[in-house]
Amino acid sequence: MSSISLGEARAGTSRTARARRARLHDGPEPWSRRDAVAVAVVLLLALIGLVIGWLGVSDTVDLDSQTGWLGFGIAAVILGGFGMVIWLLLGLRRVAVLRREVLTELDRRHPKPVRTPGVLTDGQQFGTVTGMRRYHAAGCQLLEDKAPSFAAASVHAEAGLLPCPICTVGGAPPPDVPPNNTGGGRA
Amino acid sequence: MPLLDWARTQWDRALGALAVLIGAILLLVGWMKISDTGFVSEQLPYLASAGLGGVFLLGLGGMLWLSADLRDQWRELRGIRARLDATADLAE
Repeated sequence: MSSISLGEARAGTSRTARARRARLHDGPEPWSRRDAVAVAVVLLLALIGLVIGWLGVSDTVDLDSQTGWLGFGIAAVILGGFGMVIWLLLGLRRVAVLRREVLTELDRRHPKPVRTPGVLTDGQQFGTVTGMRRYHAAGCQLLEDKAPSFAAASVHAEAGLLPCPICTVGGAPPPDVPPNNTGGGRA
Repeated sequence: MPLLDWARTQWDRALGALAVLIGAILLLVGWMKISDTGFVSEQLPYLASAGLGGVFLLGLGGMLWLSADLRDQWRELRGIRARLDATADLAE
């Protein structure tokens, strides 16, 4: 792909991202005016319910009647809590969508660097110590304080040794191998 | 005054903190009033007003504070996206 067509592709992706964004909520706040009005109405209803419940409880000394009005007030508080939870969930969702969009764009522009495997040549010498199951590059920490014998990679391979995944003799270490994992205690 | 400036710029957090403070005071006052009387029919109005009102205001305060955090995140993410868009425009 030439640089011109790459630029066109990028511009196209950018336009697609903007078109997608236009369909999503894109205001100065995570909530639209409609969300704010809807939640404000629910909270206002809850507040009115609370006041009505309080007036109802205060208006009588009959316990049955009072508990009924108290139940009304509790229902109003639950309604208010429902409105608050909806408000926060809406906000969390919109922020999550925007975060995903930004991270996707960042990943697209700055992809993670891919570690390329090292190129083995017959001229290179790799060391191993008796008892090891792998052969290592000369500078590998696993050869420190040892007396390794050096040979070409093909010689080690013929002897049944594997390349060291730590010093990346045979390429990048597999992602599930931690740096200090020497494969069953012996390298 | 620093507090007034903070309240002006962080109005949502200021409102949230005020709601939590009033809610806590209401709960405290309700508890004291309910403790003053042994008649359930006299206690229930305080429970319905100060008790439920205090709980409502505590919830409202928490909601306002969390909303402020979400607004901050939203603004920061939009800022990052605007900068990404600006660099994309330069590339075009």
